[in-house]
Amino acid sequence: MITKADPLAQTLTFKIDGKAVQAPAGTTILTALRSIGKEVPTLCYSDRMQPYGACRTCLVEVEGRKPVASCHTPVAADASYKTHSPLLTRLRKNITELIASDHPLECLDCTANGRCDLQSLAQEVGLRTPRYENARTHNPPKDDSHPFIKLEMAKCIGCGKCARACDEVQGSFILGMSGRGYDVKVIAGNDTGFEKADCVSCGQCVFECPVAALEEPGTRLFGLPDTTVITTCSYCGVGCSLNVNVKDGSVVNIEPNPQGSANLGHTCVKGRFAHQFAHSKDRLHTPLIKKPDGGFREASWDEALDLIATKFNEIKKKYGPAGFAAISSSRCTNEENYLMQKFARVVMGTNSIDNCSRVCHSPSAYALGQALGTGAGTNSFQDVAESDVIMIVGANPTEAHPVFGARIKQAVLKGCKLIILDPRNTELAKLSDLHIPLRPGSNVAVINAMQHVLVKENLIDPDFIAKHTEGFTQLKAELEPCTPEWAAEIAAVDPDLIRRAARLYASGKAAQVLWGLGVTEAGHGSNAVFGMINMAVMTGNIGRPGTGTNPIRGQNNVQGASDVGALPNVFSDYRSVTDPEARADHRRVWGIEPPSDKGLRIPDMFDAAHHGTLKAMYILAEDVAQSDPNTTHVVGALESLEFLVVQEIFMNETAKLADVILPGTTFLEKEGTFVNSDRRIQRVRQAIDPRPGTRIDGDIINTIARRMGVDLGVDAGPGTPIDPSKIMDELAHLTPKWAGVSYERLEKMGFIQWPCYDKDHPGTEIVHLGGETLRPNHLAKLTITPWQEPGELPDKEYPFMLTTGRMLFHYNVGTMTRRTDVSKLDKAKEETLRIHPSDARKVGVVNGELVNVTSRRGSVQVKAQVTKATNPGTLFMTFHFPESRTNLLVGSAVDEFTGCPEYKISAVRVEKVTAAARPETRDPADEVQHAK
Amino acid sequence: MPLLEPVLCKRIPTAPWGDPRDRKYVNYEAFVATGGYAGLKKALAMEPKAVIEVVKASELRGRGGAGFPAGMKWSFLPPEDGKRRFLTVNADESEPGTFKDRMLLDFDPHLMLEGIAICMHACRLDTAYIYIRGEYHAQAATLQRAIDEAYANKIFGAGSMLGQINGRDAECFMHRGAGAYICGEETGLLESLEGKRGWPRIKPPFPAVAGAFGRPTIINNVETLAIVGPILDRGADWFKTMGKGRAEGVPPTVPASFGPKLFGISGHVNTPGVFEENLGIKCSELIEKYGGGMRGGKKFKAAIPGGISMGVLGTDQYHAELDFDIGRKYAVLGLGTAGVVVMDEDTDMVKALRNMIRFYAHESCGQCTPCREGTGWLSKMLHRIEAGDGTTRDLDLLSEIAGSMGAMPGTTICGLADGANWAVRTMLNKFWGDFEKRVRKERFVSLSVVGAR
Repeated sequence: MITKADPLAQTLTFKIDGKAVQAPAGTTILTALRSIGKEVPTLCYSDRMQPYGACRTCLVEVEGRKPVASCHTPVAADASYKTHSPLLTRLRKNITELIASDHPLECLDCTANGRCDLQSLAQEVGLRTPRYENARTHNPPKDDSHPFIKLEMAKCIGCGKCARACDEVQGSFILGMSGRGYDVKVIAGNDTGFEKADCVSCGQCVFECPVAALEEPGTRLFGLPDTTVITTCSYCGVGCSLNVNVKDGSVVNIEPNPQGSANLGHTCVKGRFAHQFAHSKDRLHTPLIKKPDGGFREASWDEALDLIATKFNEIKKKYGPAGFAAISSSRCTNEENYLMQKFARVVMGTNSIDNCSRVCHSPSAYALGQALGTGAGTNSFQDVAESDVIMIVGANPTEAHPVFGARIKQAVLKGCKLIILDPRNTELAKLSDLHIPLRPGSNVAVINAMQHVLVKENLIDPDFIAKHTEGFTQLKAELEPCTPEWAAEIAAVDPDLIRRAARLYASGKAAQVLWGLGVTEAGHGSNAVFGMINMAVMTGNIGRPGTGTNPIRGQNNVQGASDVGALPNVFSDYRSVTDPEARADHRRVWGIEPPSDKGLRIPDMFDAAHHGTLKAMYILAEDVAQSDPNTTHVVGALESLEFLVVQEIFMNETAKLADVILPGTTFLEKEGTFVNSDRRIQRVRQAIDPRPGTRIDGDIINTIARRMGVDLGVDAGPGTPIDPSKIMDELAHLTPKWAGVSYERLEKMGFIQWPCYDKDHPGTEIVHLGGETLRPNHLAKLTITPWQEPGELPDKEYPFMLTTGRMLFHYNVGTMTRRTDVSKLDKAKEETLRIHPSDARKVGVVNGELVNVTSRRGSVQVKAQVTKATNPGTLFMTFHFPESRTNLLVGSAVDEFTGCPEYKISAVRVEKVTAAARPETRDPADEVQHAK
Repeated sequence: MPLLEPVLCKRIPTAPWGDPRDRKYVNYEAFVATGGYAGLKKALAMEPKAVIEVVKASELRGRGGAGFPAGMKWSFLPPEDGKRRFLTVNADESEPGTFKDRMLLDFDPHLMLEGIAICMHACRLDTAYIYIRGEYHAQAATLQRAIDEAYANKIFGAGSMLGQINGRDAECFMHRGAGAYICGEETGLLESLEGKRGWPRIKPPFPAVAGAFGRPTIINNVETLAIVGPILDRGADWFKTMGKGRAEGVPPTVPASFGPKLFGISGHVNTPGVFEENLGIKCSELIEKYGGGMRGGKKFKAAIPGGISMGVLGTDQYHAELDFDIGRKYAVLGLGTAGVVVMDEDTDMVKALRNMIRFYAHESCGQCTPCREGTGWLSKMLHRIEAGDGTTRDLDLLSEIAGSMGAMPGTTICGLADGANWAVRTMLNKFWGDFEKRVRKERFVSLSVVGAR
């Protein structure tokens, strides 16, 4: 079980197998004996769960007493324990024999063969055939209803690990033990089978099962994997460490890495099961060049790369650096992002490099940087276990960051108070102590009012404010008119709710604020982030365990892409491109004068293309034509370019507009590092060879540079592959907060949380320790955050507010997840418009009916899903399904500081589709083919 | 020396002091009129700690089966922290052969309520939960009536004579079980009370530290609490005049057998029922004096001292003294609930054991592997042996499985498997011949009709 050692616990001395051992009081015998390299068999024990003490195979002998189960019995002072003895072997053999007597001994037919805990135990105790001469009486039917979790009760040994994993790790409470005694069995839901139970398919039950009562069908086809590669998940920003099991060059399955520091041996449905996209038949497998008629022809790598090199050189010559812009990818590694920005700055001579954090968490990075001195979250995931109040604003972690969401859920179940600010009735909102169902676009008002209450009711920490902050007097004056009544009017909530929320937040000894894209993708997002930082700082909730202000980053490496400088205004480490010292460092390393132009941000790039100043773009692994707001505007911009290069793994909406498409590789095929949401730099390791015809993205960028006559200094000479560790060394050299990072150290330590200032620095779990911020004067800046109306408000014509987000089973535009087994799940098959029953009645639609959703920018057709998960007046859609084109509806209002678009707020109207208007068939171009 | 006056049966007519046919519900007025709640009044006049000292001085041992000293249990609670602390009363009387608490609940529940109130005062417990066996439908109704009367008369509730405990009114609730033997195990009971599956908890933490809802909790049996009122009323010394007492030469640190005890007699006797007697009464005396002798004048063959989990007394142990020392002296597990089940010379021990083990296999909760699988296999093998299909090896296997399951060998969390363990081992040890006969393929005619199959 994962618990922090109590520093005050007394140290006890005792003996294990005659050897004197010391451990703090409260340590279990099992932990103690493992600490000296001893082992006892266990069937029901898991590091990730509370001790259970039911299989009894972990018995140890205690001198002068009866044997005890080591997994849950704390060590006693001066006791003497024996881990192996004839008595223990007899008892263990007896237990094993009892289990085996009711277990099919068909090991050859079993996927657990060779890695089965029962099999190993039987060998250890020397059990052959059980002596009980009766036919097995248990042979219940299999539960095959789930596409990738199969339950075969005949093999169950009743250890309860699956049910406990469901409760204690995932927190879904789907699996349970039913029946008594000999008839105990595992049930899903109310014994309805997996299909009907509300399972989130995280697969933890399968991972924990010591036999093969729960199994993934994938493993049945392959046998035991030949290698296991530890890498980092490429979906959300949690950064789960994964064990990729590979056989004959194909991925057999993916399991959580029990040593993973971010996920502690847990994964979600996507990381665990959605990996088949890497082997999909749809993968781009050769460069494609656009034909004059608009179609594509296959081309050789040489031809494509030469064409790009020539074209880029031409454009640079003809239009200067302003004619070129690049979009880097938060899906790619740090090394590739670094290379991409180096390419833009060194080869093309422009600062016009940006990445998709522009359209998600750029306000978080900006505000955190301004107020606290560094553009990342302050604390770590593990801190949720130490918070006594957690406030979550505009985030749905149980679906969008499931592993972290599960961790929050566990904290709440253990008594941590939870405040939710969200227009949707999310899973965590249902568990919360206080849910403010504010109207989209009113975040800043409500947060200001909460600050007002903190100040008015003197719930602040004056000492901390005096010692560690600046700007309080001004802020206090500005907050004066921001009464809860004022905010309640804007947010359409009860003012008392705001008061209670502020009081609850201030009541915490360690209170933490978490937020997601509901804050930042909502116009004036930076102000909302400033407001939350103010709250934390005013109450002294910064720089301690369990406190802080933490954005939950949406993508695997969106933190890293920004950290390494794939942004127009900064180099790596958020050092401004105008900072003379940073420029000098880069001049020295790069050997050229870094560009000094004001680079373009992503929305500016599209505007520039429309204006005709931007002529060529190089887009790495981002589907801007589908994921960016105001699709029509984006597509128009890309069409007006002279030359567009898109590097992708699948054909997508953006790639269709390209002049050259280059087939890149997935995270399973390359080496590198990702930075997760809590600043954790972790290795990505190559598990399978790049698919034939594809090339590693970093190599492609480097080769283009080479062909343009520039040596980026990251390979061993022309025509050789890049060396990611060499790139990391250069990056560390140019990035003070990463100075201590190297592949060698990452191999040894598993992960490093930046800041890490030198080779002996252990990394930083909590930034701003003791309230000393990383700003030059070490003070936190309290920032005034005036409320402004969102870019769009509902009116008579467009009476509803549409907000968008993710669902559990898909990831962003669905390019990857829709080509995996996960899309076989019923819940993951199609887009719906979530609408509150009262609104549905107003519009006159029932569940499952087709509706037109229309905004000022366009109209899409989608099925209505009538649900109380949204509030009246607010509608919800995901953006996972290309055919529903949700982003067509979204406006192009942006945050005033960072240009982050307002995805979360669009005024729309909803109309029922009449039979006559229903299209006969869908546009075949929009249909995504599923991997077989 | 026999008991001079009835204590627990003071208001419940029981031989030799009364006729069971005269038994009726003792309501609040009748209870108070006969000296009820006097103990509570005395206790309330004392400091809580002093009340615990009285119970400690009386050397009262728990009447639920394990015989743990009650005063010591009450003093295990951590210091008050102003938050909630609970009393749970174990009225989940489901041990086969045991029906003593039922009599108290049926006729004189106020006697237990008085003990509850005293315990709450002494240990500073704000809420009491009486966990009553699901099958006790009539008793639940009677108990609720008594609780309502107690509330009406300010024993519990707002403005009660207990006053505020941990900043709240003292409350007493009845909670009905749903028919599982395992919920009589104290931590299984707590789980069930919390609304969960009644699976026993691993210890530590013990209930005194983290019991119901994670808070310090005292768990006592109905009969234990019922005797607390009279002890407080008449003093620890009076209590210690009853029972077998402490044998000479035994140091006072060793718990002894003081006080009266309810004995339930069932099986092959003429007048089964619940009787009150001194601890230490001989099994033979109980059968002859209270049970009206062996049914049909048959010879004594065996007896279960107190619920089937205790194992059996052999034919030569007819005169065994029924006190807390019985386990050590007569090779059984202990006195248990003192629900004595008597078997005559015609009893088919194979059948009897099969019936007992069938019970454990049915009631094993299924949490710990040895008990879940072990009771299942024991049951299957005994059915086989009874049908004449067993082998000598089966007898060895029986003994081997039984011997390695239970909290005593350390292979289970709770004591349910120990019950099965002792039942099997004492039966095999004391009646080996009966079992051997059945596996030798000789013709055998069983005269007994024992339980369900």
